Amino acid sequence: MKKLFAKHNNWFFKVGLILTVCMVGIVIIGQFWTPYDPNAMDAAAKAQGPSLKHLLGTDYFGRDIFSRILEGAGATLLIAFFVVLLGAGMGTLIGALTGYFGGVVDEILMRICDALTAFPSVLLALIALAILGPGRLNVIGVLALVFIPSFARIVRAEFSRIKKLNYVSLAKLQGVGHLRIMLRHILPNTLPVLLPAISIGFNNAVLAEASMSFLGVGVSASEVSLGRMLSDSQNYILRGMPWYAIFVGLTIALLILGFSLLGEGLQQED
Amino acid sequence: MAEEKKKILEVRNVSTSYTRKSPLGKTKIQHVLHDVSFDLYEGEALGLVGESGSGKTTLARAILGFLPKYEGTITHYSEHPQVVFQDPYTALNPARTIEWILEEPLKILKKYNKEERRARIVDMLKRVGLDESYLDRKPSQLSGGQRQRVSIAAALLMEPRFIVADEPVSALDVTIQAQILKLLAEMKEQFGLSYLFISHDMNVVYQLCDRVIVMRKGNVVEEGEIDQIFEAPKHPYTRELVEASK
Ligand SMILES: Nc1ncnc2c1ncn2[C@@H]1O[C@H](COP(=O)(O)OP(=O)(O)OP(=O)(O)O)[C@@H](O)[C@H]1O
Ligand SMILES: [Mg+2]
Repeated sequence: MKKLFAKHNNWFFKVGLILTVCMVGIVIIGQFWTPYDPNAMDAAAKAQGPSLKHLLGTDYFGRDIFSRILEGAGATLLIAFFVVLLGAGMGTLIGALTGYFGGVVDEILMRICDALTAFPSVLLALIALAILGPGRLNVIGVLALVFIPSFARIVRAEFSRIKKLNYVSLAKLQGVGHLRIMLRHILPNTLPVLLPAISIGFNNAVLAEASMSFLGVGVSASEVSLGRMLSDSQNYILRGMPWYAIFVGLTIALLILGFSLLGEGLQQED
Repeated sequence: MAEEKKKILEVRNVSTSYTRKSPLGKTKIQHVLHDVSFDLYEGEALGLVGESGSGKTTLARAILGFLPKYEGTITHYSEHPQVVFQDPYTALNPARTIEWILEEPLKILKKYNKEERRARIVDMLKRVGLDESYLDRKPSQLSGGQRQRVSIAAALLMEPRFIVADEPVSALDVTIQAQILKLLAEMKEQFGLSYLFISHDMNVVYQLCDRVIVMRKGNVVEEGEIDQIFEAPKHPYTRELVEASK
């Protein structure tokens, strides 16, 4: 961590890190403690604006919006976490194998990646979800799948570059096995490009979940998420309660701003 | 040679070329090695000299098995060689510490436990003129010459029978150079190590090698015992090299 700070001593990285740690920290706390039960309805406090009692106001049912945002953001971040974990994990595995060994399998897999990336990934996810139907697990599966090619591509490029360097040749002469060369010799050297990609991946995943759920193909009606709330909050705007949508939108904006600044900062050294 | 020596490497009629595509789509073929043949025996240090671009590194890469395509045959009669690469900047893993880099081959050898590995690493670092304080550093925190010495240490730690060393001491100042040459000569005496020692510096070759091969534009122009090469060079190019070193 200290080394990361020394290496990326720039404002993008610092601000991005602080913003991300604060937002994610608050959301994690929100999984264990919220000011109110997110589902508790209070007939005496329906559709109120922000106040000391209800920081971000309440909805038609008298539910505390701040508590509900914490719950929704938690669900969105959890989805993003699994999307990036699966997408980056599979992408790295595929990229490492194809980049290191090359050959026919490399050709075939990279053509498939090319074909997949020929369509905008959000559109692809939208179509797939429209067919599969909404639901948290479907969102994770589909987004992870469309995330794989971009990770596979950058990891492959790094592996095929690094495998030609002398220190990898040396490791082969020393009798180090292929698996160990890939994991212990090459992989650490891909982190300078992999870490920013993971950060940007979080940014894209949060945004994609929000868009999908907003459009009604994301999480199901019974599940919570920031996109789902953004969709619900539309009704409040016309009835003179814009703050619901503003607060949900702001939460999404701050989350993706943190991740994208962090990603930018990790790409720049000093 | 009176007693029979064991041959450890046989290079026969090795030729290779690099192809390059010109912007107009024409492929240009550059011949880099022409019909190179020689033998290397156990316990021998064979010098390989020649001007820049004469194909020395290419020949070394062929012997190490890193050249994808060449004509002729290269036969190893002993275990595979270890190597000290010419470019010290790509020879060490930039993501790892010197300790990790030096310990890795010893872990693969599976002969020593943790303390023994550490002791051997520290001992070898001292022999190449470095010390324990370098263990926690990354290669980027070392000078070119220091990196080169770590590479030499890594090669020697593998306890090889044969080392291919491509300009291992060129980046070092004379005192360190002398120390490393002494170390290489000691290892040779002690363990019967063989070297293919690439250099453009005739003086360095004279200090370590028993025999010399002179290359020019991919051809072996002269081969002989070190004293013969120095005292009675036959080829004009060899004469030039020897004159220049005096
Ligand atoms: N990967 C490559 N692709 C194309 N040409 C190459 C490649 N490597 C080397 N060459 C060319 O082959 C020739 C021989 O190169 P080589 O590196 O073997 O020379 P060298 O004798 O080691 O020179 P030096 O003393 O400068 O290290 C040079 O003309 C060089 O430009
Ligand atoms: Mg060279």
